Amino acid sequence: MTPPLSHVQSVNRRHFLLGGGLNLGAMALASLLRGDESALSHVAPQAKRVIYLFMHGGPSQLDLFDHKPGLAKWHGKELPPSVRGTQRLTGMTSGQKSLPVAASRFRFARHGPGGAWVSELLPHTAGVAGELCFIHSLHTEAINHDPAVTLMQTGHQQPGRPSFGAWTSYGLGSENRSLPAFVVLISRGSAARPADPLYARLWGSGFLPSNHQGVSFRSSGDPVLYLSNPPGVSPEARRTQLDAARALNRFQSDLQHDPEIATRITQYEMAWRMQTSVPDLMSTRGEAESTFDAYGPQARVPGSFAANCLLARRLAERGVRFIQLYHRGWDQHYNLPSDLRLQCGDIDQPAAALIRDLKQRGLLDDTLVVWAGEFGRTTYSQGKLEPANHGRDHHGACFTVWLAGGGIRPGTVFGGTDDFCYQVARDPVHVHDLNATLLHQLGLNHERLTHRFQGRDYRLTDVHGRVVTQILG
Amino acid sequence: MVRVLFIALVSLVLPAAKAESVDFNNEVRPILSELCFPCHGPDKGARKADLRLDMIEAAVRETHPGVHPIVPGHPERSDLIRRLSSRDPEEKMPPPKTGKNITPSQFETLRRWIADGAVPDTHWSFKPVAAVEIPRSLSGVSQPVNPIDAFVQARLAGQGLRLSPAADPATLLRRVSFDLTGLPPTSAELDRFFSDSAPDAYERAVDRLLSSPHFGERMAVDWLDAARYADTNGYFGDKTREIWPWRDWVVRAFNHNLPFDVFTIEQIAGDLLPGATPEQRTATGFNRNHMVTNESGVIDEEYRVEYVADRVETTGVVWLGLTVGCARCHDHKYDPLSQRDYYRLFACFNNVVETGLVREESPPPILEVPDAAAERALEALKSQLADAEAGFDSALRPHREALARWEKHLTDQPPLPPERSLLSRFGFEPMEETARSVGTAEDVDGVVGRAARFDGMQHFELPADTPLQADRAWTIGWWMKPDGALSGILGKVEPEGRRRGFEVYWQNGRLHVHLIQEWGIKAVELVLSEPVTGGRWLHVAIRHDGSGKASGLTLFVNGRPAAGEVRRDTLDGPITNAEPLRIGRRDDGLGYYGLLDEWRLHSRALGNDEIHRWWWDQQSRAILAAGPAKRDATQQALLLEAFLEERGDETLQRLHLTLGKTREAVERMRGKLPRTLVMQERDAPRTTRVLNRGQYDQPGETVEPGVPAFLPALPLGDPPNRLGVARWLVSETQPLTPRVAVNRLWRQCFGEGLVNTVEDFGLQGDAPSHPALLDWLARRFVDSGWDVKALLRLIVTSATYRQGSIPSPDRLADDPENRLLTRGPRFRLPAEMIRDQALAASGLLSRRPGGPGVMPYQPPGLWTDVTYDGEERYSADRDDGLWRRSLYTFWKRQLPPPAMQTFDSPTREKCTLRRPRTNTPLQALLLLNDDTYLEAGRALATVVLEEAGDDEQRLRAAFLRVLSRFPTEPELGILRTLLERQRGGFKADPGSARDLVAVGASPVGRGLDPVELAAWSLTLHTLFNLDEAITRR
Repeated sequence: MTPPLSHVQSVNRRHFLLGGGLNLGAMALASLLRGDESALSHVAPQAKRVIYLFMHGGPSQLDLFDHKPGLAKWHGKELPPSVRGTQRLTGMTSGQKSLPVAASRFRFARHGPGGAWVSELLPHTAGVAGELCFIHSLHTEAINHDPAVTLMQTGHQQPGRPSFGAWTSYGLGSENRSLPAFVVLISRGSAARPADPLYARLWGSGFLPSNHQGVSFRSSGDPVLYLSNPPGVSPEARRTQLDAARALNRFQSDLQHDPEIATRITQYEMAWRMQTSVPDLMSTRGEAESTFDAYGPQARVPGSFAANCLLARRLAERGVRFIQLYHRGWDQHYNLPSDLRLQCGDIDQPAAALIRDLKQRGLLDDTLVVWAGEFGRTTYSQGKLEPANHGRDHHGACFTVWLAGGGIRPGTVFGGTDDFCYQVARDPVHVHDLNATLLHQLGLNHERLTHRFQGRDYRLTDVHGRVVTQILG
Repeated sequence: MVRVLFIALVSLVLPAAKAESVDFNNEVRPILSELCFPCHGPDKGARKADLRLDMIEAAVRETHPGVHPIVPGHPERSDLIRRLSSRDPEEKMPPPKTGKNITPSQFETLRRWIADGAVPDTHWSFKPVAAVEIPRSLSGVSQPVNPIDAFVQARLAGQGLRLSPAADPATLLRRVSFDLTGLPPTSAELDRFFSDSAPDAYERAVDRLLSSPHFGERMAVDWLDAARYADTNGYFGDKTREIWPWRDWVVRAFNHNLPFDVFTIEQIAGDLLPGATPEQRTATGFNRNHMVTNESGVIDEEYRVEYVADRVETTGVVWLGLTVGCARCHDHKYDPLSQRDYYRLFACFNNVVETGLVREESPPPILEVPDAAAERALEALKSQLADAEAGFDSALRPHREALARWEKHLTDQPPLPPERSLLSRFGFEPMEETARSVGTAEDVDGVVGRAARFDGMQHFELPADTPLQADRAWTIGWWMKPDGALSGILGKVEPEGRRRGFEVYWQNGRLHVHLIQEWGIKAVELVLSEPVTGGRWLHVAIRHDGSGKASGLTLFVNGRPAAGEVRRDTLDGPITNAEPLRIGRRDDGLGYYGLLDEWRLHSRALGNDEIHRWWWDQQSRAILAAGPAKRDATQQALLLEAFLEERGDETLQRLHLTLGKTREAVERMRGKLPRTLVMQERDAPRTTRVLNRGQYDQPGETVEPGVPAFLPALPLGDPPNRLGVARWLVSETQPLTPRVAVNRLWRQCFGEGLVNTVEDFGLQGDAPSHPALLDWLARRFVDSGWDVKALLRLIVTSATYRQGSIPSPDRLADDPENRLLTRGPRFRLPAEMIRDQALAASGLLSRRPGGPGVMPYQPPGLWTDVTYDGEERYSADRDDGLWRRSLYTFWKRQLPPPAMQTFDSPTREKCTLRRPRTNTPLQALLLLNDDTYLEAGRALATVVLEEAGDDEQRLRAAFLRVLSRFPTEPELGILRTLLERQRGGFKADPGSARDLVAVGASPVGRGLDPVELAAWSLTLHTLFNLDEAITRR
């Protein structure tokens, strides 16, 4: 295998700098905030960066994209056992005596050149359907949140592997010298039900060096931990302090012949720059009124999905490699009709505005936007199917995601499910296939982006995955 | 029979190698392993063309007519060589699609090996640890201080190199202090060391460090990483668990220098030792440190299998240095470990009394671990209890007949709870229509009929017009069996804004009752004074007299009034709202965990006797329904209590009261005892099957417990179980454990192991840089009785360790990564030491050992996203928890302490044996702006300002405390200028000075001028930010 170039580079650099030991400082220099002109490419890259809109909890594909008009006549009737097959159920409904089919209560219409079905809950998304590629045939083995999200984001159900963003940072480095390569933004949904927890491992670096882990930007307090000067310390006082530290570090550098010291001096200067660049990024004061209008009424509310979408665009403009959004609260075990509407209200307009905004600024061509949850939801009702209310349990056998930009063929619909939206009927796409495809668009061969750990070469796609060439532009 | 090559040759004596011959282990096998074994190696599932190249017998056999992969002595006739050099993509090996290629020098190595006769050899780490002769000392080099140097010098001499001169004393003392205690030397220790001119001054300093109580704390940090120790459960809700007594056991074990073989046996199977002590059982927490899940909906067996697999993998990598986990789904691709081997080992860890889906925050099996004093007190109480029981029993004997009559009467005429003014009731029965179900609650046995089980995911709703108002009298009551620390029981409350309404929640055994007009401002807040124990049925009633005052609100637990603590009593208006009454949830957020049954609402204030009867009626109904044979102890006690109240005489009642109080005292005492997760075997062992692809639901053939076939067998007489495995790991014939263990200790002192891949001693791992030294150390370790302190002493007193770490330029060229050990080791300090140094140097450090995890400063709000619905918040301690050693910091897996993570600590989700050492701007921000370091700057400033002296003397003293040396003139100049400029700045803005010195909870020295203190604080804070401060050279 060919080791990722960043690794080769750091080793060479280490020799070049005549460093001792196996410190990873040189590597950090080479990647956390490196302006990386010579990133690794196995194949010609179509996308330079990713904006991943993760809908945490598992949105209902049945009520949003995967239209099944035929279910109306099954509404309230028992899901035929032949449809279910041997598919395992979660412990939440495996004891449920009746599994009544719950047809979607929302209206659907076709949109865009590909004629994609989009439900009335997502009118803005419908408006940009011409830019999107819907995959109806995604599937996963996991049926619970923790393993399912972990699989989507790290390629393995059990913890311990690097996240997608960490792999990308490792493989491609950063294009910005004063922002991290991998940024995470989190918002909480409006659904009345409690939001499931996230896990720091989802943006962790696993066994990759820890400088590749995602940096979670927060909407209150310091956007980056420890960014602000302490109370009573003016920028001048701080600069004086930094100058003294640099001078003292230089004495040691001359004496010790240790390249780590030079790296440390550089990192302190980068920290100083981040104190300006991060607030610049977070401050949306310079944005036009029309931009706020486009992203919707929540765009001025820090920490909302809308505000995060706007930030995502600003991060993309600044060359941040991997921008991961999480929107929590998509776990509609009950109160689906009301809660799903609320969740969609959170994300619909901002996500569509993001696509338009990127396009208008010429960024959509080389930015890959992904909209996905960790699984879909069941055709049958969880709990009682009531006239105005019901829920849906987790369903991994088929669900829908959409992709946009980054060389993905726009205005397409790929893959299909059976009449009950229970199993994939054609063109199955496993989570590993999706990840292989996303890496491919970044110019990375998923079988060659590897890291040796405990004697084995690990990949994001484990030992699976194939690029879904049919959706490439 | 086909013999596996690695085993076959263990006992063969290889002919003395010719100078030009190829070294199979170091040169040939790595090529075969990397390029060929994935398809032609031990994994039969992945094997192509039925050809394996890891066994010579198979590799020389004819595969097709006239075709032999290897013909010893004849590379030109060997098909392997032909295929490796082929240009035909159909023929070429490795196949082009693997992306792997053989280099010309690799090809030549293989060719020569075959030409020399294709003699294989056992992989080095699987060979027995034989006695190694110490190289004789060489002429022209300095006398070795100990045998380590002889080995290192022998290797250097071959390259025409020699050791570097020793480091200066200050550097050396700082280095060894960090390596052995994780703390910098104090000024006094430095002074003593500088003035001690005895030849063994250094050795005595080492002995002092080895006997310091901080030695165990330093050693524990690496072990906690290996053992994936944390204070939370890891998956999903990441709830808090109690297993810190295990962590404290580790610290004590290192401090007492528990021999490594005992250390091993007790952690893996202490519970199975004859007459296992509580200490030995506590030690088994090692293999309970894995994560567990409370995510409702997971499949129990799926996760239980994960837990067992985690134990097997962790044990395999920590002791054997083998990536055992690779054989879970298929035979190992590189090492001779079959999938069957894996499951034989798995069987040894597969008998724990446990479930995959856990309900408790500290999932069983658990052990109470009282300290000696608590244990004595508990014993005394228990003997009092025995006396009280005996006394009561004999007094009761004459009344037995009356009791039976009374019980019959009760059964014939069952009592009823009060019915007058009953407005609403809900029994949690299936199909009951009173309340609307939101989410699905599990239907289980209850106090009366069925009850509902909640896990925060469901609730029931009653109409918004349920009259729970501030100006009305009412009484509500229900049965509950709560588990978990925090639960919303019921609420009719607005989710946002003023949160007007009524709510009841449970927190650590206390009920909180709120009548809210404006949250936190106009409200009645009443909290149960004495916590009650969860996990059992309780009847709770709340009575309100219509006054809207705290005095009009009474709590009842099990029919009796219970004292409440008034936290607020400021309500002066209505609490009416349009929200439904939610049972099983506080508002739209916090849900309930546990069981609920029989909810009732009366539209008046019931009398105490009525409430008592309400409880008793429902309670007795359940008891009587159970029948005498099926009643548990609590039910029997309750029945008896009722009888005594109604019919008992005074003596009997008094004796019974004493008995009850003693019982309660015992319970209370036990409730306060620390507990810890331990291993415990099931009576009947589980059957273990090979799991196809490692999947829990694809069982294959049954296997018996055992150890991998390619390693030495279990010692005769040892049982094939966990205890047998534990003893086997440290048995005389075990080649891996001692090598792996000494390599880790070496890494602790040198930054890298003699084998770089400390976690992989298999075929894909790195070869040792000094194989003879590694074996000599391993042998010595075993022969010394696995004496950890002795081995560390040997390492750190060697001349090799004591070398200066500044390389000369030519050395860098000869030995860029210091694999030859031509200079002393230097590397950035681990996260814990960076923080502990700041605390120690500034005098803030609390040296108190052990106890539950503590919570030092951390930016606010970090836990919100990683807990279920943001229900847990981090709040920093208000005592010395802020300044304890970092290994005691509370470890939340889904949000590890940022001060640790920023400096490369693992998450502790999985076993980690090597932390990376990065150098990032986020580290700079942490050291510059975290309260810990600012406070340390102020504390250090206070220390030097309180001593007599001028600026220069003070700067020198502070510099010594942080960097273990005095500053040079130019350094002093820079610091003086910095101090002057900060003085000027703060003088101009005294408000800023006050703000800065207010950071941190430690008291600000009295009588110190804030301007002066601030200037000094920021100046000395700079020292913690120097590369030198966070590097050990």
